[in-house]
Amino acid sequence: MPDVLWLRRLVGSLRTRAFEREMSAEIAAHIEFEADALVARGWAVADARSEARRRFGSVAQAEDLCRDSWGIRAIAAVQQDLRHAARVFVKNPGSAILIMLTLAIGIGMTTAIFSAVHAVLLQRLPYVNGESLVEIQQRKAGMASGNLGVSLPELDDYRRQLSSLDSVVEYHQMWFNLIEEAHASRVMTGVVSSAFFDVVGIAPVLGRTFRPDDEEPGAEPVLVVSHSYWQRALGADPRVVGRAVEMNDRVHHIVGVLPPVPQFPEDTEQNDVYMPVTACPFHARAAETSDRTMRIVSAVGRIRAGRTLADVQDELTALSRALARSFPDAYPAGFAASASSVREQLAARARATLTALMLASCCVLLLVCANVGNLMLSRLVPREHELKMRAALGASSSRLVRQLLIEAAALGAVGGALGLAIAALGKGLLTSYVLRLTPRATEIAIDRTVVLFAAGATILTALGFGLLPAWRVARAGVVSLGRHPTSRFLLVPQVAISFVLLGMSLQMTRHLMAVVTSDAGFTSGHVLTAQLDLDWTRYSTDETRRQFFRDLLARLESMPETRSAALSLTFPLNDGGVWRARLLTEDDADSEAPQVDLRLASPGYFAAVGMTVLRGRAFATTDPADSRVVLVNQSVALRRFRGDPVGRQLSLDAGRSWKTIIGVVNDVRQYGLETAPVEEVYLPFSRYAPLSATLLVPTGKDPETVLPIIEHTIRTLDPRQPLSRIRTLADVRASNVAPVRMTTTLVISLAAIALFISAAGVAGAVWVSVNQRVREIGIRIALGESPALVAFRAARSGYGPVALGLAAGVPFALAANRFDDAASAFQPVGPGTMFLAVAAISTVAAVACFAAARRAASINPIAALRVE
Amino acid sequence: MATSKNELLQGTLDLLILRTLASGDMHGWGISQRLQQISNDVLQVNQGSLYPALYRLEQRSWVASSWGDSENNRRAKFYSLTKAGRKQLAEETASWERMSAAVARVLSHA
Repeated sequence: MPDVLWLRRLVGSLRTRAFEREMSAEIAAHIEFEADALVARGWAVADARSEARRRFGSVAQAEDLCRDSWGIRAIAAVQQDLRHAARVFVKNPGSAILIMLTLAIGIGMTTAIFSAVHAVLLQRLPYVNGESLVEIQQRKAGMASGNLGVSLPELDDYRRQLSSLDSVVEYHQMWFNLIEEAHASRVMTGVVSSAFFDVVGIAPVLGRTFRPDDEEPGAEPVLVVSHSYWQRALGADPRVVGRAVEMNDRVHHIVGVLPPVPQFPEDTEQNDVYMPVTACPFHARAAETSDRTMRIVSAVGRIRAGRTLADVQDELTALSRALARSFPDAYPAGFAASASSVREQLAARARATLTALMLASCCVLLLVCANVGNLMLSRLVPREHELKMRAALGASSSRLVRQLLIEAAALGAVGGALGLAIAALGKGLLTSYVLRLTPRATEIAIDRTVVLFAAGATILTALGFGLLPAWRVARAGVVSLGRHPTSRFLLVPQVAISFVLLGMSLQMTRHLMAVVTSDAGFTSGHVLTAQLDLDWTRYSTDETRRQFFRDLLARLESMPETRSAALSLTFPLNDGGVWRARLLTEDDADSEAPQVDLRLASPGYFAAVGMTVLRGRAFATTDPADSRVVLVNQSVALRRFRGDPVGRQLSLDAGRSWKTIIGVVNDVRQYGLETAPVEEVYLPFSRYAPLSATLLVPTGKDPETVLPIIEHTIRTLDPRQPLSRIRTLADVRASNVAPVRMTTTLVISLAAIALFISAAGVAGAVWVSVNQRVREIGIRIALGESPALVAFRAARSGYGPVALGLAAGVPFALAANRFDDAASAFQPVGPGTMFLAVAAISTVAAVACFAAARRAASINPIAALRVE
Repeated sequence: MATSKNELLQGTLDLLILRTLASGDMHGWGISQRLQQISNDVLQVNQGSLYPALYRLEQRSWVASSWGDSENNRRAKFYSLTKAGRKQLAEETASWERMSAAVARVLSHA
């Protein structure tokens, strides 16, 4: 029943006009009835009318009482308060705009970061079975590369022997050439079990996904395409199902299109198409082997209903122990299998960063609250006179409080709406940033939850900053608004929060600068890199590949625009393409010798990427194809050979064959600008001539002009040979630090906002105190105190909370240091940085104080004494 | 009209209106006439406070209203008792009777 009442009131209030009309009609009818009755008793018509009106009394008063009964008065009063608030803003637009902008920035930032937290950390996975998916990972202690993957015999064991999983599917990624109407392109291909999409829970938007018979030996090769590839390369053709393309010298038919869901398992490259495992030539080759160490696929399982992740882990531990007993060669000490929740895994790299950003932006929102509360108070000071007058004229204090709350609500509504707009505008930027941390970034959206969050944040903020002045008015009446210490105490947490954020951002900036300018061991930037993957059917022998590579280098080197070119498996900061082996020297025939990275390099490679040959020489075109020569990096030279290794021998196959070291090159940070170099051996590219290679061409300032020349050169050699992943070394280097750069930028922006808001707050407090003491200051100046001293005193009064805030901020900064996490860009704040932050905030606060205190010095004593 | 007629106790008017409407639908003027008539002119309803009371009762869903034609063909707003109003009337009547009995006892025995 109360609900109905409330609704009726609402509807009634919306129908204000109809109400007024009906009320007037009803009262008029009443008076007519009364007059009729009087006429019936013998009164003259005119007399009856006026008597009837007299008997009724004041129509206006009755109407007012009726409106009160109906609840219209409250609505009208709110409308009046809103109009009043608007008038107050128009008179004092500066502070109103400042308040709205502050709110918009605070709420916008917090909402934007919440939208990422919501998408990545809170929301369920957009797969039907998302919550029960696990990846089976295998690791070996001491190996930096993390998950080793799973071999096909192991996959078979897991499929049969883990009862807590109701299915296990496999996945791996490969580049293939896709030829459609004589146009060759390179497509990233997810190679999956036929049940993969059913197990994960992804339904196609067009056609079908794979069926068990697609995986039968001899089945017609079929493809499922990703949503983005369908839109990008297939023109979002609704009749794409059934289209034929050529891959690996066979005709494949497209059977389905996936919905736009984030890709899983996580890979740096987005898959363009998917094929069943039996269609993948490399998989077919691997399936013939029983080698358990050929770990080339990822294994994904779905937890059986009623079982838990812990059950899977227990079973897995037991099973891998049993396997280690049966196949000791394949499972050395330190080998372990684990089950990891896919949802956790997809968010793992983003969790620390997003959590920290969320905390930081909540701090900023708190600060916004405190500061806007202060601004609202300071807006009251010039209106003290008006408020006193209104109180004297009988305005109830509840009415004044309501009016202040309505002002806060109006400001909050505008600020919140602007904030939501900021969050919506920043969505693209935020997505591209978070995408570097997790594929779930594509789910970031300003949806209902995010809008609700923004609304909630706005309401809480408005209550936070609106209740404070309202409470003050209600408690102390309107007397001595600004003399209360609250406004200054509010500055203390503001300064403390600013200090912590500033300290963090300074430290991160220093770290970022160090990373960006660090010596990674390679100096070139203007080098075009491109992936070159030969068709394995047409380049099946070493000699055909060697011939292709030799021709390519010769042609590029003979052209004036390029002059030099190099080939390798990969290049610094690029993923993949690394082989590993144990390195044996002549001195130690230790079979447990540590592994080193093996990299391929053509003669021009070191010069192309800007590495230095420290001793000996680089590879030469004159080296015979079967020559057993290698270069080592400095780490190998120092640790394994203790000095000059040129001319000495090493073995990479447990002593079966030996190679001669012809030179030493400098160390390179291959895995990341912040990752230490590892031991490396460089082998001559031409000796191995792999199917997948990287072409590197130094370009000078403008890579755009060289690219067509390279593409033309390749076409003349082999028109069916595509180039892919074309980037410059400088781009690769920049994108390597991009997440750190972005996090740093975000924290710097938060710190700058916090600092600005605090400075405004400090200046505001000084300004208020000067304004309240105009008369006192006027008297002081009249009595001969120097204006400079007066200004200094006024400024000093604002400085107390700053000092307190700094003192309070230090323990917070120390506490924040514990947030140091390898996965995030956050850095512990050192004493030097803290000192810098203290100095910066002190300076900014001093400038703000003195700017506000200038008014004190400029007070004209005569005018001041005449005030009021 | 300088009458010394009894001022109605706060809240009593609501009860009287509900009681009056219990005998049939009525418009505002009719209610005021009826109250006066039944109380032998002892209760003079201030016409200015009749309508706010009616509106209050309607807001509480104890009465409902609709426009109709009166006996002398004037448009008037007719009020009727709702189910909730009937319940309210019963409760208030009981409590009024308890109250007046108590007051009467005090007056006769004190």
